[in-house]
Amino acid sequence: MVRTVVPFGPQHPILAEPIRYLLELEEETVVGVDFQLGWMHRGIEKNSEQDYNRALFACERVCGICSGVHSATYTGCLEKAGDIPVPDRARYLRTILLELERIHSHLLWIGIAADAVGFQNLFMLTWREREHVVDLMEAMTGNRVNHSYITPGGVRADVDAKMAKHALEVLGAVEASAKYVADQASHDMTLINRVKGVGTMDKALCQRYGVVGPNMRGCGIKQDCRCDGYEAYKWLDFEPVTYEGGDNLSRVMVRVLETFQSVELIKKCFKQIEPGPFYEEFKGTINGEAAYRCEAPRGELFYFIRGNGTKNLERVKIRAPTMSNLMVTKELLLGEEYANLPVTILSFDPCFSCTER
Amino acid sequence: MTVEQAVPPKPKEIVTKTAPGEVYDSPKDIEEFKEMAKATYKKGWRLMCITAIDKGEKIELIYHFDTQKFVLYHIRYSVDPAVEHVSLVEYYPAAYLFENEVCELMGVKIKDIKGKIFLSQDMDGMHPLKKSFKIEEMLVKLQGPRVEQKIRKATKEDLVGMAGKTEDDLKEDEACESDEEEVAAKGKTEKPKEKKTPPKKDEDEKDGDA
Repeated sequence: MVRTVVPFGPQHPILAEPIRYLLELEEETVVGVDFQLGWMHRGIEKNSEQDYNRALFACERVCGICSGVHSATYTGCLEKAGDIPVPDRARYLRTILLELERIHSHLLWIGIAADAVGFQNLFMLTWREREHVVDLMEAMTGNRVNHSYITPGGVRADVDAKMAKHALEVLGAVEASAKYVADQASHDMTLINRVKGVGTMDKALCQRYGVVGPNMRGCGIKQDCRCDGYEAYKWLDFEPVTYEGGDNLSRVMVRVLETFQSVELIKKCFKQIEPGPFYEEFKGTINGEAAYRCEAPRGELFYFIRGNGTKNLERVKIRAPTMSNLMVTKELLLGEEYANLPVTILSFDPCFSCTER
Repeated sequence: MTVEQAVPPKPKEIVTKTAPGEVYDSPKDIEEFKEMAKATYKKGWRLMCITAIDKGEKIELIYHFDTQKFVLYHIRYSVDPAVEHVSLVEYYPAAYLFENEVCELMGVKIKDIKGKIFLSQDMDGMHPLKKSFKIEEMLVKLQGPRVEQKIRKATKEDLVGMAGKTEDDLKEDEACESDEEEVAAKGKTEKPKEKKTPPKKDEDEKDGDA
């Protein structure tokens, strides 16, 4: 049969960021996949080889959506390498921000995915709820996207009782309307027919390629970096969300369920948090190396930092979740219908600016 | 990119900080490294990442593994960039991207890895994460000998010209710079006063209109 090579990207209506897939097609079926990156490389790792206080701001700009978790992982790694103490209250406040970010990221992704399958109404409904969460983050940190909130030794601002009450009210409203939207969407036959049984990834394939995050938990594998017990997660009792199936639908459902779980975790944090200091100043140099990981909304985020006893860091290594999730698409997309490709690629919630840094 | 970064740091003993159970193994030779990598594969551990660190003559590679029990495991192995290193793709398909990155940004030769994924095709032979990498060399290679002459002069206007400004912009910049220099040299003179007055007038007009 005649084979055709079709380029997919770097500019494509469903891709928010550039990647070029080169697809070999036999009629409508994909028989060969290759990809090329390199449109978003900004040299952030190289730029981070400087004063550790300044490198924090560079690392925060790796990703536009999950900037909070990048700063949390960077500071966590720095605190491990330099033995920097952190007050308990700061750990709770960091956890609240990280979970707010997870809700924001998941709602944003559900909206984009809905847009990709042509469900414009769901897109508008989820983004309306997301806006309330972003406003909440702005009230808490002062910024909507790049928060600059987490810093070595604690956080930059406290949350008072009034704001906590407001946050719980807003989250209650978000949860209620998100539940309504999820109910409506999960009974929509057009949507379900579009995503169910498409892009199915079994457990073995997932483990062989080292897939992380909600994509892995969508295959029924119960693993979550938050169980490592960093920040305040060690004091919060929770189980990772899993969903059997491994297809596009299960990846959607894991994210929907995680959104509700995040609301519960924030409520727990506000219940357990106790008054006290939220920042301890650290002045000194970093003489050590450490590896550290956090659970970003897209999956496991990994940092490795080496300081050499001066103020400048010698090496900062960043491994974003999409870097681990990308390789599996080379095998997963084989045998797919070309028309299902955009939704399957999007179901991994790819972020190429994170991948290339 | 400042000059400070290019200066190699003072050699000092670096302490490796670990969580409980976290291990850094360092095999003596390549055979031991292969055995260790194979052992991790048989245990069902996941390759998380490969870190490459420039140590002058050699490049230190750290392979990070997840043991699936909330504990990390690391293999540290220094390679000579001139000698071809083994690839772990047969055990871990995900290593393909990590090895390409190490190959492309740090210049480590790895078997069957081309290293042409993350950077522009024109960056062939340049490895930006190396300490010896100089941004001027990259500009010369990407933009040609015309830039080389400009860099050799290394005057301010050349750098402004490289940023994609037109000749008119350049003239305006020159005028601004010369004004600033005059102000700095002479202190209070008549010229800066003249320059400063137009914006005030504009503000007055706006207020008047309002």
